[in-house]
This record gives sequence, C-alpha cells and structure tokens, in this order.
Amino acid sequence: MDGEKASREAPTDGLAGLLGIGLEADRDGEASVDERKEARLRAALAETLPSGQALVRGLPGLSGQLPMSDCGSIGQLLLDPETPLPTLQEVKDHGKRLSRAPGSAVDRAAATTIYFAAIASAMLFHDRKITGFAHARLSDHFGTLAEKRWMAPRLARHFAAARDLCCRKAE
Amino acid sequence: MASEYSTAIGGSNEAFLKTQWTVIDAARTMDPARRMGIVARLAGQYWKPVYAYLRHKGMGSEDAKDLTQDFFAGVVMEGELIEKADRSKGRFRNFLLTALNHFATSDYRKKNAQFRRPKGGLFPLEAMRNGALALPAEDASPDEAFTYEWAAQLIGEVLREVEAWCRQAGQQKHWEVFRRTVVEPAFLGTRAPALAELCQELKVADAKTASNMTMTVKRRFRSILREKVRQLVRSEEDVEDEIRDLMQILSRFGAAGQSARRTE
Repeated sequence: MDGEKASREAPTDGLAGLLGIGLEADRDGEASVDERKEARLRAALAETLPSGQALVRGLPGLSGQLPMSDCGSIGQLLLDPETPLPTLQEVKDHGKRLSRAPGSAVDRAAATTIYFAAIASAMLFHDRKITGFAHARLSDHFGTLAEKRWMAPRLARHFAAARDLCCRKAE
Repeated sequence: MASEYSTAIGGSNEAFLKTQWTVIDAARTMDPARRMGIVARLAGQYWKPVYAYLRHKGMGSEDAKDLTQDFFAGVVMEGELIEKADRSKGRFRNFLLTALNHFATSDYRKKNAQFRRPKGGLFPLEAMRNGALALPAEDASPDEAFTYEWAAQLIGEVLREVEAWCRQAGQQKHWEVFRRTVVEPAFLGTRAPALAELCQELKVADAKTASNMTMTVKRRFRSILREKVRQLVRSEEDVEDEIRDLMQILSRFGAAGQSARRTE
C-alpha cells in the first residue's frame, strides 16, 4: 500500500484502531523474533519467584521482616544490591529450570538471561561466584548477552559490568 | 480522554512491573502493612474504571469518589477478593468488574458499611481531582463505562511506554512521525497530515522513510500492548479476544461518542 495514500485516509476506527494494532500480523519475520524475545524476557522478569514465599517461610523468625526485595519481581531482585545471596541462588535455579522446561527458543532466551543475570548479580553485589564456570568463560557469556539486541537496557549494563569484573578476575 | 495520554495516577514506570496476577498472588501472604501498600497501588492504577462504573450507576462525583475508595479498602483489602483471585479463572478485568457488581448492590454495601479506610484514603484524593477523566457517553451502561475506561487507560500506558522506548533508543523522530500520523488522528478523529509536508517539517528524507519509521514504532506498540494484555488474562490464547472486546467498546463509544463524552 502506498504510504502516502494510507496516511491520508480518513481514520474510521479512532481509538479502537490503536488497539487494533495489537491484532496486526507481523510483517517482518526477523525483527519479530527479537521483539518476541524482548517481550518474553520482560514478562519473565515481571514474574515473582514461584518458590519465593517458600524461601521466606523457610527462614524462621524473619517472616514479615525481610526487605521488600525478597518479595519483588525477578527483575527487581536481580538489580537490587540488597537482594540476599540465597535469593539470587534461587533465581539462578529458577532460570535453570525454565531453560530445561519444554519451550521455544524465545522462552529459552529469557530463561538463560535470568540464569546468567543471577550469577552476575551475585558477583557484582556480593563478590561471590555461584557457578562452576570459570571467570573467563563467564566473561564471554556476559559479554554476549550484553550485546543482544533484545536485551533490556538495564540488564545489558548489568551484564557489561559483570563482564568487566570477570575479565579482571580472570587475569 | 486526557490529551497527553495520561490516564493513570500513582502508577510508577518501573522497568520490571509485576503482572497483576502475580501482585495479587504476592499480596496473599504478606503482612497487612505490605498488603495495604499493594492494594493502594492497585487502587491507584484502576480507580478510573471503578469510578466510571459508579458514575454511570447514577452517583454524583463526590459519592463515586468515596465509594471508589471504599471498594478498594473494603472489598480488595479487607474482603476476600485477594484470596479468591485466581488467574486460571480468566481475565483480571472481568474479575474486578464482577467484584464491583457485587459491591454496588446496596445490600452488600450496608453489610460492610464500616470499611476501615486508612486516614487520608487508600490513595490521595488529590490525584482523583487532578486526573483528567473523560467518561463515555451517558447511554453507556456501568459495565461499559468500566470497560471503556479500562481500555482508555491501557492505551495511555502503552503509548507512554512506547514513547519512552523511542526516546531511550534514540528514535524520537520515529515517535513523532507515529504520533502525528497514527496517534493524533485516532485521538482527535482527524485525518493524518500529508506525508510530504510532514517529512519537510520533521526533516525526514522521504515518505518511504516516514512509513518505515511508523512501522517500526507500530511493531513496538504491538509488542508492548500484547504483553500488557497478556498480564491481565489467563493465557496467550486470550490476548486477542481481550483486545477485540476492548476494541468493541471503544468503537461504540469512541469516534461516535467523542462529542457526547463528559469530561470532569
């Protein structure tokens, strides 16, 4: 369709037409894969840990006293320096479970991101390595993830910082 | 609808907002103080559809505002709404509307007349006064008014996120083209400007480039819209049905109803 002609057609749907954009088919297959990964990651980061409350209950005497971050979304937990190390371990395990569950490449991309983001957070916030990967290998993984087009900007910076830290430790 | 797409109050633009169902899930096991905080945030986000519903029930503005606060304080906070919330049963919008239908019956309100609303309200009344609200036409039923505001708010949120994404991606010009050719005509019921003139004004190379810019932002809009709707329905399969339902309400009370809409 001629773009000029399309833009001059009188709008008939108004606000409904805006919502109708949500029903339009993807026209650019390559771009939509990255968009799906970005959307899937954003949704996964907005979830809470399925076993988060179990973790709270498993810590006697602390129920109701834990910082808000322990009950936050996965994305918030990953980027909050106050998130305790056991919680980051839980997030890492959650990512690992997700990556092994049946799903598409889009789902696995989100799961892998969560997995490595938890490792990055443990290193950046607690100076602890919660994985068997060597620093050099981690640096590669973090660097690759930081460059992904579909990566959330804040996580991209997070991975870049973790990559730099691993580079220094690998020397 | 507020001219700058700003229909939500008290909502934050956190990078990783929780889904509404996960917010409800988390609220179940929290202590009362934290639970109230979550309910207050939900109230801040959804007060407009509730208010619109109550106004279309025939209540005056001040009564509707009071009852909006009561709904969230009583039904959501103290009632069993949180315990009964179950994502597997369907859409969050319908869940809230069903609870509101029950609340609106006089018997229910009488039984629960003494809701312990926090001093100062669950969320600031100033926000209710300052938040521009354009209600659908007066012949809309309360349920339709609720859904209309729900849809309007959703559009506002998506547009804000799309604009923010464009800014962060260094695509402010893309946003401007999209705003002028898609958003403004939709809001104002006008024709889009001639692309040649727009390109000249915005210093875009040509009409094809402008079209491509629009398509880029449209893809982003689609992605964000579908994701937001996904957070409020049971499954991926329900996303398109929900969008169609909301479109139906907007079509009925959108262009045709714009001149008849009340603004307060």
